[in-house]
Amino acid sequence: MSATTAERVDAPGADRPAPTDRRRRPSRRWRSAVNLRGLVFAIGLVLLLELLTATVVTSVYVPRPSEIGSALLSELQRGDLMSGIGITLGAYLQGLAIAAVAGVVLGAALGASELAYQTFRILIEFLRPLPSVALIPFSILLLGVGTTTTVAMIVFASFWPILFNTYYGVRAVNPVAIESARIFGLNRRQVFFRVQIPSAAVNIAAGIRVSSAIALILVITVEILTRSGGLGYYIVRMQVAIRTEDMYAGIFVVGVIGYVVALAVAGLERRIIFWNSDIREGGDR
Amino acid sequence: MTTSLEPTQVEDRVPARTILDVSELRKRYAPDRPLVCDGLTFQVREGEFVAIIGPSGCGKSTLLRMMSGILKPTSGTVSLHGRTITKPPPEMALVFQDYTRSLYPWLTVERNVRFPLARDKSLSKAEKAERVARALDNVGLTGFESYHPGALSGGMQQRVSIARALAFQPQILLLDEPFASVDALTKEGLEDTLLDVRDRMQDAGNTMLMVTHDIDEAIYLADRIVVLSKPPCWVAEELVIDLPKPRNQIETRSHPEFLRIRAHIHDVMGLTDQRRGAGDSRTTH
Repeated sequence: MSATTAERVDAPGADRPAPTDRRRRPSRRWRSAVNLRGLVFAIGLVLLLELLTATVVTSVYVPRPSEIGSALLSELQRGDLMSGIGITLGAYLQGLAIAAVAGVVLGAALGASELAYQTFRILIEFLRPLPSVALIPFSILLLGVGTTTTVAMIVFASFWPILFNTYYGVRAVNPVAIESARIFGLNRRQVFFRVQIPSAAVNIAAGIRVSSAIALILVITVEILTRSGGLGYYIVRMQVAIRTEDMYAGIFVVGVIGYVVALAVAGLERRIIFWNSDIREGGDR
Repeated sequence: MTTSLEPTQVEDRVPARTILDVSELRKRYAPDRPLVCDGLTFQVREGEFVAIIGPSGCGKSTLLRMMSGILKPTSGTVSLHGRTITKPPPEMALVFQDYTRSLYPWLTVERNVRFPLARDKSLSKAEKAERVARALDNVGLTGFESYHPGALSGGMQQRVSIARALAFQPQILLLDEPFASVDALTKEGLEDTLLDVRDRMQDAGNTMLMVTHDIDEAIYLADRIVVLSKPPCWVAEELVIDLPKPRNQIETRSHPEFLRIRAHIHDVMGLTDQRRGAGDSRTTH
């Protein structure tokens, strides 16, 4: 750090040259992740719940947090919950990855070609508002019950935000950025890949952030509806067996997955599109 | 020391051959939009520093875009070495006013400056690195190679975009209001950087053309000034600036000749409307 400080002083017109040092960012993120006030509040809420379930609320359907905790620990030792986590995460990551690749490639293609956009526009406008769960019966007929249907549903639902964000990102690149490249003799193809696509990275990341949440909703929904295994199926099974502590343990795991995914996506965003000041503050969802 | 006020005298004073020939240039963005440029004609000679000044919104940037081949004129031509420009010529580079958009935030300073060389296969890696280093040295940014533009001040970012144009080693360097977006003190520093750049460019027989709305800046830097009228713009007057070189901020700006030229240009820019004559058919549409 001392070297960069020395450069600042000698710099011509250096009124605010904070060095682009990516190592500084994780510390800031760390500070916001370990939000002490929030943590104390959450722990307090759990303790309150513990107190309430131990005294006033004594329903078998509302177990005490401590019971859920011990259920979670014992369930994690056994195979059921663990294999559920594996199946759910596997389908989730596959679906999101396919949607991301397809959404970026097709969104970029639509952004590159007005002809392609006009050709597909009506089809897209029809398919996009279609709730993906409405397609589950059709998907079961076509693909059968299992991971394939789950993945297909995730792809269908999380594809759209990525497609549209990529398309608008490629389209909305500032004309000066494009003209700069054209002045230096880059042809349309080079401008597209060297300027438009990197510029659209900000939008692409936003699309993937939105889709990462949608995909989680979809994977659990499809698992619950099709009883095809995974955490969704685990939760229904525990409900049917009136093993409420275990059911809540399953729901808790889903929550943890959602939280970790959101943190991971935000972290990746900060690393990959570090130049975008909007995301530096974090927590903008 | 005298200043030529008549275009005819300009011819005798600068014997070098014409490199850029702007002839009867007209631009209208759409049939129902007003005329932006109305019959612009002037020449730029090899090795000259020409400043084009005109009131805000008079079509200066439009003119520069047409000269650099990224915008098609409605009628008239711009020729470089006698050939009509239809696309950005490889002999030309442009520095935009809007450095925040013309630089690429995801690339480091070094890679931004190397950007125009990327497609040039005739240069070895070492030659490119050498050119980038020299360009950064010319604008006083050695040591900032690994920074990202977002970490630099406005003045430094504009230096980066000047360095990028220099690395391209153009025969003609076009500058579009290069100091319009920086504060007054930063501007003085940049102007002197540009004086150094000008000397280096002119030693190599290269030409510079700057568009500005700042009369003082134009007189301080230029060998010749083309004064444009209010929109739709046409050439109101051409002036040779015979101030002694090397120029500096204190002496040059307080030189009696400097003050005289400034008063004259103020006069011309204020008078252009009446000189035009109300009966001119070109203004009525």
